[in-house]
Amino acid sequence: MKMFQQKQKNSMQYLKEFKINFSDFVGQENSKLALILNAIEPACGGILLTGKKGTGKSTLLKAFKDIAGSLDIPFIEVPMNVTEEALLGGIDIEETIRQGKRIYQRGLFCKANKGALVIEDINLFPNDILSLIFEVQSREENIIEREGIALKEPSKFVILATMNPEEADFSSHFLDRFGMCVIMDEVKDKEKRKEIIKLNLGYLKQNNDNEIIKKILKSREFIKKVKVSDEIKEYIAELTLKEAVSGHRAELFLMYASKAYAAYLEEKEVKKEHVDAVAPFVLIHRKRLIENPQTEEQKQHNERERNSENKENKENKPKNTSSSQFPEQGNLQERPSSEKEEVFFSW
Amino acid sequence: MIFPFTAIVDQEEMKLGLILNVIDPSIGGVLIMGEKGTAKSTTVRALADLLPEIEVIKGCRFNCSPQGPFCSDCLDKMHNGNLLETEKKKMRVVELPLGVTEDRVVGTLDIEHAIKKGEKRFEPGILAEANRNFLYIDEVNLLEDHIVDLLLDSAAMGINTVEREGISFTHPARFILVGTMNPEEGELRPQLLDRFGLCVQVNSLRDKALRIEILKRKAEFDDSPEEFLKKWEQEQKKLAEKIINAKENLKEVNVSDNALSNVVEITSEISLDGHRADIVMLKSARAYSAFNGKEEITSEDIKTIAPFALRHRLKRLPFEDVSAEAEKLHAILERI
Repeated sequence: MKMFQQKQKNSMQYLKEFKINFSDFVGQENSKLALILNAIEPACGGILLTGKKGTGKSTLLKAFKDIAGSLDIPFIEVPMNVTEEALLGGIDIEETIRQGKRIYQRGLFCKANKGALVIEDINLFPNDILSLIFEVQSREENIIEREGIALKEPSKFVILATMNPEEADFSSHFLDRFGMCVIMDEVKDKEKRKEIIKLNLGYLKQNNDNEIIKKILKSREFIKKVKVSDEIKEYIAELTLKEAVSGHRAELFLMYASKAYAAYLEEKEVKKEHVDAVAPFVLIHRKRLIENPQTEEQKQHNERERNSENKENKENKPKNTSSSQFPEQGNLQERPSSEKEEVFFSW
Repeated sequence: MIFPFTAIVDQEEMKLGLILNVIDPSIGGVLIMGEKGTAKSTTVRALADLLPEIEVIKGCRFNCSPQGPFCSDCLDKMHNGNLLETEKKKMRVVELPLGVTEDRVVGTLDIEHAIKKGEKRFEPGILAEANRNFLYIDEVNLLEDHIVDLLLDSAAMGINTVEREGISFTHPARFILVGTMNPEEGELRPQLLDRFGLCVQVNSLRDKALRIEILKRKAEFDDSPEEFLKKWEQEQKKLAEKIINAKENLKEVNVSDNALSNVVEITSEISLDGHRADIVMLKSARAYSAFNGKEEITSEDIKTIAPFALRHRLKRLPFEDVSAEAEKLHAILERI
């Protein structure tokens, strides 16, 4: 364990030379907030930063690495060349040959325990590797049965990932595993663009991250006191129903995210505003893929139809749930995947 | 024997693109687009001769810079309290061939060492060799997809992390990516395209006199390479000195607010993804000013550099030529 911690520190020192500080990062407030919320409450379920090339996805994650280091959160990067064995752990060749018996070597899953697994360009990874990663994540335990080794290890981590949707499709099944998703667009403001250039050329004086780290530490304590009332839980359920998301992951993630946000603002009770503020992070990658891309007119038209139906059946269910499901699903299958992406990005 | 850089006729655009990268390696490489037989490879190989020396840590397999970042080996040494010696090494052009396998690119377990000595050791791959050097990929658009994926990672962040075969290793991989491609043979994926700092175009020369000059020089070189090299030595030295001077003065070049405004003006008017274009454009303009011995970036410099930084980043709709956006760019440049 000690050696492991030392390694962490080594890699921090190693990155120092060419990183940009988290506090100095210009723009992308949403992504920054989402990362901070995940640092406060790991139950927020990780984050997927998606955006076009050159919008600072990787740079932001690297900047966040230092914060994670100061908070003692393991920050394990999964390179594109990773093998199954490296993830799960396997035989330690050196020790095995020396000692003449099977010696186990810990894998990345195990190293990432209580921390974050960082995957860049996640949509370019082979599917079998991704399935493995998500399976272990949801089980929170690494079960090894290979090369004559059988053992179980705790492995609870969040996934911080980046992807450029132009490059390859990413299955909605995998998308759903992420607690949050933030879309990073280039900064349009000219003054800010200038600042970004200056920052990258090293002409801006650097702030340090101490304040953010202090804030996170404080919020981590504070969150223990934050209460979620029944009323808010109901509101969350309503919201997720209204957005027609599938499954129940969204509700849970949304609750934890709101809680973390309330703690961040140092408020003891989660309010509706808090839920509203973080809802886009939690819902964007779920609802858009399922919802039918309708124009406003069509929507109104459908609503009118639905209302007239409802009158007949004296229906009092919330809108947009059961009655709208089958035509939408039909449409989804017909729609080519590229269009799905566009919808995903029109936000 | 390598044909001297300065003896290559014309193709100023390609030469300038390469020189700017030597002056400021953080520009991020050049993509050379052009037909076959336009001296693409010759120029890149010739460049090696002009390259300055760099300071590296003695005995390091990854050419770690004394200022860092460091590879896992050097970090271990530092932690054990060893002092790191330095030495001077010439920059190199490292080639990535098309049929390369994944383990050769990123590096892998040194099997021989493992079997003989029973120790795990990392065998560096091409990315390690390329650290602080040029990484040259001929026909980059024909590279296999999964190799491209591997490159994307290191090209952007300058680190190669290896997690395979029981090896866990990190080393810096900050290379200047130089690729050549013939657009007729296939497109390059946008994500990789964006990783190239600059893009230059080469065409076969139309001028008869220049074509004759090419023939003459090539024949002369083939007949007696030594004599030819001697003849061009003076020129080579002059250019090498100019590059070294520019490298030293790079940080002294004043980046005025005016220059920043110009850059932002251009990039915000044409639709571009991300901020790489902005950063690259300013860095190259700065290198260009330094190369010309100037103290400040002028609008003229930016005008000259802008096409290099933007050409491959212009967006195009399906079935549409880039020309529409290119014309727009032209109009904006006229205004500045």
